[in-house]
Order: sequence, then structure tokens, then C-alpha cells
Amino acid sequence: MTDLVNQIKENVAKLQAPIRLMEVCGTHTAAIHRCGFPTLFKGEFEFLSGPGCPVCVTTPSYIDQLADLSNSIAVYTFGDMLRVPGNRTSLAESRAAGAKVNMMISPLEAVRRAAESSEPAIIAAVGFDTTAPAFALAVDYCVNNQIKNVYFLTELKTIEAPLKYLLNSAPAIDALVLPGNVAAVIGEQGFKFIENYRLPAVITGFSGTDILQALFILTASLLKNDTVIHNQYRRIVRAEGNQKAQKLINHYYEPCTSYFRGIGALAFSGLALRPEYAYLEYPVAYDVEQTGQALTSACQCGNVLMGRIKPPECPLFAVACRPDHPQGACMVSTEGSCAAYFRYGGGLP
Amino acid sequence: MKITKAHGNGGKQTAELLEKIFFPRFASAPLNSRADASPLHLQGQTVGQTIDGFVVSPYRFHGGDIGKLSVCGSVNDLAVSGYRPLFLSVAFMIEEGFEMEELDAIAASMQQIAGQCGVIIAAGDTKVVEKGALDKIFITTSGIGLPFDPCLPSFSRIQPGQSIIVSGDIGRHGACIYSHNQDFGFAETVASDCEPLVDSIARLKKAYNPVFMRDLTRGGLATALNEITTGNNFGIALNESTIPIDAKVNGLCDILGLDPLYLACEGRYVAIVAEDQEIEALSLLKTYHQSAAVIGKIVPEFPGKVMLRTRFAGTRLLDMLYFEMLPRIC
Repeated sequence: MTDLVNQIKENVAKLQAPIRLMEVCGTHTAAIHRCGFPTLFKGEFEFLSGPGCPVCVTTPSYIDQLADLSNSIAVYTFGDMLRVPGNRTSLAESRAAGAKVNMMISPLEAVRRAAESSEPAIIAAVGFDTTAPAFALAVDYCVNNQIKNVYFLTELKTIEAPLKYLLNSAPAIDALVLPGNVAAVIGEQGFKFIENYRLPAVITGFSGTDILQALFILTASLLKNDTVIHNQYRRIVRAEGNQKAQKLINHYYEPCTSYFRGIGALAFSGLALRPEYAYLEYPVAYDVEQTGQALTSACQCGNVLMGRIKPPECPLFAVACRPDHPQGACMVSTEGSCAAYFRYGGGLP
Repeated sequence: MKITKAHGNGGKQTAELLEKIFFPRFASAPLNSRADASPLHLQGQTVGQTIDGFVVSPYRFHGGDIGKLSVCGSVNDLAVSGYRPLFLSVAFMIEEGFEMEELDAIAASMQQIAGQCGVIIAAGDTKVVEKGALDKIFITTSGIGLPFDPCLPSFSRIQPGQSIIVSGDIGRHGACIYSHNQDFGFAETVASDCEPLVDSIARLKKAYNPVFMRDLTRGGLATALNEITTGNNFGIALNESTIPIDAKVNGLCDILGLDPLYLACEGRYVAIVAEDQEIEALSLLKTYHQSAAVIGKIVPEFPGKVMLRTRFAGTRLLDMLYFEMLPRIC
């Protein structure tokens, strides 16, 4: 381990530090901070977070919608959505006021649980490419078992569109760390488009050792000036990805425009149920006007998600915005970059 | 503002509830000690008093039940605060429809653990509520005890340089309850670490007189250590690679995205001892659990904070629990 750290530091010494590195996925952000890398590599790397935390990019109006529905219909959601603030309330607050909000471990488990009663239920379908197959499986279960009381409120997203949007804005970053879990589904091929942007990138797992290997690969790439998409996570990620999962997603979903908190609408960035399965989507009228809107005018979630600023540069950070009273989603989600900075102390004083 | 489940997680929001409501309302010298058991001064004699409510679901779990848990809870709070537990009072709140045999089984485990600890159950109360007014059975226990010796553990005795020992591997109770509450299709669950600590603490106290002890309950190791540093002029430096965690607990945490440092224990404690006694104190604790370990030091840097040196030699903050992590665990 120490050898690997030393090799990375030797590479960095030959480059212009700090190297500005963007981890696209919130799980990487949390892992980097949990491992203490901002202090271990202080002055050598700057870690910037990207738009790949599904909780962080979910819009306030989606939360409002779910919270409203939970007053009359049982809602099943992943636990990390509970405390995300909408414009009016959070699901945790609704639950405290008596609304029917249930935590789920997997969409399939939630569908089975919900189908046991004949009461109508809504599954909050939120996530990126990694989570989409799990929702497709749940939809598959509903279709095959003719479940009549379970609906989905679908807000699934794919990583390609926001990543392109980010790279097109010419951000000041030197290299990318790509999420191994997304790549496990979409494959190395799913990230090939990044080669057009001429910066090195590596598909990486989530352990500290995985991330150290990624840092080594990226620094070696920068020294050689190569701009290849590397795959550090070969034990899981194949070039073509998981074709069974891709087939399942394509069978039930089609691309659609979706909305990102702090960014707004992006074409082909979301997944919607295909028309023949749209009867499983809970019918709600979306308040499109509000979807991209930040919660308070001072909240910098959008800039944080685009890697333009680091969380402590937001005027609300650790003052008005803390994990116990978050103003934006990046402070709520355990994978949000603001929460990671707050909780783990960033580079520390 | 409404109470949410996060207010009961033993972490930051629970602390906020205490600061905003209970401490201002109930301010008293014993309460202000903020120990797991409060010191009462009765006619020249110091008596320790504690109370603990139990709402665990399921009420029967791998390695124990709500009865065992409720006796261990009060007994352990007294012991870590430096008191030999002597008498317990018990209140049962039962939902109509609960099986009499189940109640008897719970009472039997209380009887067994109380006997093992030399504690007398001296007073009790029973309430039955209509179906739906509570979930099956809740138990509250309150205990009193006398000091093991006149030198009580105290925040004021903590000094930089002292060593922190944990009495065994952490997070088993939380992992156990979590896996009971979710149908993972795992063949077996992790067994809870729920157990009385009186014997271990009595011997440690006599031989090495730890300056401070705290049992790890809701919020786990991270929360207990933060409670020790908060508001004090010293910090804690922990060494991640020395913190004992069972492979099964780690595996469960990996799958569920939980952090074992915040998982509840119900039969583990940390003891702060003088540096030159850490080896002997550790070998005593190892006779109870081989996994006991020295995990860190009291330091003058970072006052009020807990810093973790990671396995990768980076350093990061180890904060209190901010989020609801678990179903009802105790």
C-alpha cells in the first residue's frame, strides 16, 4: 500500500500539481474522503465531485410530488432519499406527520411487499444506470405477475448526457475517475465517448485500494500524455458491460428528457417506461417550471455538481447548510460531496 | 418542527433534543454530570442511578431478546459509570394480544441475567395498551448501584497521552437487528453482542482504575467517542486498522452501505487508561473477548474532535451520527 502511495507521489512530483481530478460518482467522493485521501495527497490532488449522485441531482419538485402522494398512498423509497429537502418538505418530515413512507432495500423487495396488500403503492424509481436494472426487474415482476396495485414514479437517469454536458462546458479538470458500478452495466464501451475530450479517465472500483490504483494509472497517463479510457475494475467490468441488464432496461425503458437539480433539463438523460408499460407509471402532472430550480438562491449545489466550486466555497456550507438542516441535496445524501466534506473534514486545517 | 426518527438515533439530533428541551427544563447537578449513570448524593453516600427504555424490533433476536437487553442496558450503564449495580425497577408496556408464554420467556431471560450480575429486580409496573398503540412490547428499566470504589471515572480525569481500549469487536448488535429486519435471504444472521459487562468492568476497575469508561450503544463507537471529546479541551486520535470488526459485520456493512463505526453494540465498552497500563489492561480484557484492542490515544490536538488515521495513512474527521441508520435497535 505504502509502495503504491509512494509511486503515485513520485509521478505527481513530475507533473504540475495539484492535479485536478473529478470523480463523477458520489460513492467515489464518499470513499475518497472516508479513506482520508484529501489529507494524504494534500497539494498533490484536488478532488472535485461530478454530477453522478442520483440523490443530489433529483429535483425538489420530484420530492414534493412524492411527499404529497405519500399522504394518501404508500410510497417506497431508498433510505437516502428520506431527508432530501423538496421545496416544501422532505419525505422524513412527511413520515413524521403520519404519511405512508417506507424504506426499501431493493425495488423488487418493495414490489413484493407492496403487492401483499391490495392497497395502491408507489415505488420511487430514482437512480443512474447502475440502479436502472433493479427497477427494470421490479417492473418485469409487476408485468409477469399482473400486479395491479403497484405503480412507479420514474426519475431514472443515465450518466452519458450529464457527463457530456459537463465536458462540453470545458471544466478545469485534468482527469476523470469513472464509476465502476455504472460501467458494470454499460461496459467500457459506454464511456468511449469521453475519448473525444482528450483527457485520461479510469473506470474504478470503490475500495481505497481500487482508488489508489486509479490514481496511479491516471498519473502515469498524464506523464505519457495518453487519453485512453482505462479499466482498473476488470474483475467486474467487461468491455461490453452486462448485456442481460442492458436488454432488460431497453425492454422496459426508452430515453427521455430529465431534469437535474441545479442544472435543469437535459435531453436523452433520463429513462421513461415505454408506452406499452406506461400503465405502471403513476399518473401525475409535473410542475416543469420548478424542476430545475435550486432550493434557495444562495445554494450552490449546481456549481458543486459541475465541479466549478468545492463545497467549502459555498457561502452556506457549514453555516446555514449542515447535515442536520441541509439547504441542498449535496449536504443530505451520504454520497453528496458537501456531506463528505462536512463529515470527514476535507483536507483538514 | 416535528420529532423525526433521527431524533432517536443517539447521534447529533438526539443531542440537540437534550440541549434544546431536556437539559434546560430538568437542569440538576446529577443530570449535568452527563454520565451514563447520574451520581446522587444521599446522606453522605454516593449512589448511581440510570434508566433506559427498550423498543427493539424484533423483540427476540439472534443472541438475546428485549428482556436480556433491558437488564444489560441499565446494568452496563451503571458499571461503566463506576457503580456496582444492585437494584433494578422494571416497567412493561404491552400491546393487547401479546402471548403470555412470550412474556414469560422474556421475564426468564431477565431473571437469568439479573442473577448472573447479582442484581435484584426490586420494583415493577405493567401497562397494557390497545392493539396498535405500540408495537408488541416495550420495556423500561431503571437501576441503582454503589461505587466500586471511591474513585469514580470522570471526564475531568482524562488527559492527553492516555490510551483508549475497546473491549471487543464492534457493531454486532446493530448488524444483527438490521439483518433481522430485512429479508436478505442470508442463511444466518450475525449474533448480537448483548451481554452484561459488570464482571469485566469490576476487574478492570480494581486492577487498573480506568479514568473513564463508556458503553457503546446507539450510534456505536463513533458516537461514544464524540460524546467523550465534545466540549472538552482534548481530542482523540484513532487508528482505523486497529479497530476490531468481525468479517461478517464488515460484509453486511459493505452490502448495505452502513458504516460499522456507527453500528450499535450492547455488550462492548471503551476504557481510557494510563499509557503505561495499556498492555496489562488489554490482556485482562482479552480474557473476555480476544478481539479487544487498543485503538487510539487522547491527544492535545483537535480539541473536541475525533480524528481517524485511515488504513491508507490519511487522516479524517470521525463525526457523530447525523442520519437515521437503523430500524429500532434497542
